[in-house]
Amino acid sequence: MARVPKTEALALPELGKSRSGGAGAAARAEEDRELVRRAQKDDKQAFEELVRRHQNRVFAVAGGILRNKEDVEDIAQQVFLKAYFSIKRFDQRAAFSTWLYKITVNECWDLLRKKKVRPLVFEAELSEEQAQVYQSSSEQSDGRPDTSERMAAQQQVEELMSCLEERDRTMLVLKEVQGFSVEEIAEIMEINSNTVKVRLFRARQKITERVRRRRGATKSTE
Amino acid sequence: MGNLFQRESKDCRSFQDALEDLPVKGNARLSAEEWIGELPAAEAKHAGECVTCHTALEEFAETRNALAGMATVEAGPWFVSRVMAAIVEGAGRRGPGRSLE
Repeated sequence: MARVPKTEALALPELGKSRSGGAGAAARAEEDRELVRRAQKDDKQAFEELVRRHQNRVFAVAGGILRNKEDVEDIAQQVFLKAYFSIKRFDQRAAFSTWLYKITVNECWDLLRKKKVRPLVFEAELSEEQAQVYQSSSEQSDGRPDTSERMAAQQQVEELMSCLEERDRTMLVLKEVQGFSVEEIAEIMEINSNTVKVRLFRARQKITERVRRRRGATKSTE
Repeated sequence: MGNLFQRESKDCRSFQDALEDLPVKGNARLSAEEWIGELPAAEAKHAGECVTCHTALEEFAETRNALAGMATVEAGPWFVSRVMAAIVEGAGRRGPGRSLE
C-alpha cells in the first residue's frame, strides 16, 4: 500500500453515492469541488468548511481502525493538516472525500506501525479519560445501554476482531459499520474490488466462527 | 464452509453483489431471514435455494450483529478551531508563501 496519498486517483464513483445516492450526494460532491478550488487559491474559510463537512466521517473511519480516542483525535487533526498542505497537488480526479479517507487510513496504519500494536489491546483499551467520556455521554438518559454495558460490548467486539489482520479489520469496519461500498473501500485501500469481496467474505467467516464458538462455550457452562 | 468466490454460477455472483449492497442499519440486529427481506426478489429466492449463498448470508448477519456494539468516536465542537489553529501554526513554520505547498 502506498504511503503517501496519491493525487491522481481513479475515476470511481464518489463516496457515499452508492449509499445515499441521488442528487443530494452529487450536489454535495460538486460543492466539495468548488470548496477545494477555493482552498487551492489559499482560501482558508473554504478549507474550514471542508473540515466541518468531513470531520465526522474522518473520525468514524479513524475510530474504526484505532482503539484509543486520543489517537483518533490526533490522527484526524493530522489528516486535515496533511490535506491542507498538499491540496494544491490534489487534481480532483477523485472525490475529495475519497482522497481524504485514503489519507486517514494511511495515517492510522502509520500510527499502528509506530506503536507496533496488534489489536490485542482490548483488555486495557479504555483509558481513564475515555471511560469518563463514555460516562458523560451515558448520562444523557437517551435509552442507550449504560457505561459498563457499552464498555463490555466494545471489549467483546475487540476480542472478536483480534483474529483479523489489520487490513481486514479496516475493511470490515468500513463496510459493516461505516457503510462504505466495496468500490469505495477498493479505492481507499488501493486494491481490487474482487479482493475486497474475497477478504470481506473470509473475515466474516472468521468472525462467525468465533461468535459461534463463544456461543457454544457459553451454552456449555450453563 | 463453502467458498462463494469459486463458483461459476451467475446467480451466486449476483447474490454476492446484492449482499454487499445491503445498507448498514445502525445498531439494529437482524437475522439472516430478516436480511433476505431486504434483498431484491431474485436474490432472495436464490438465498432460499443455494446452501452456499445462504451460509454466506448467515455469516453476513452474524458479523453485522457482532459489530453492532462497536463504539464510535465523534468530533468535538472544538475540532474545527483546533485544526485551523494548527494550520496557522504549521504555515508559520513553513514560512511565507508556502502555506499551501
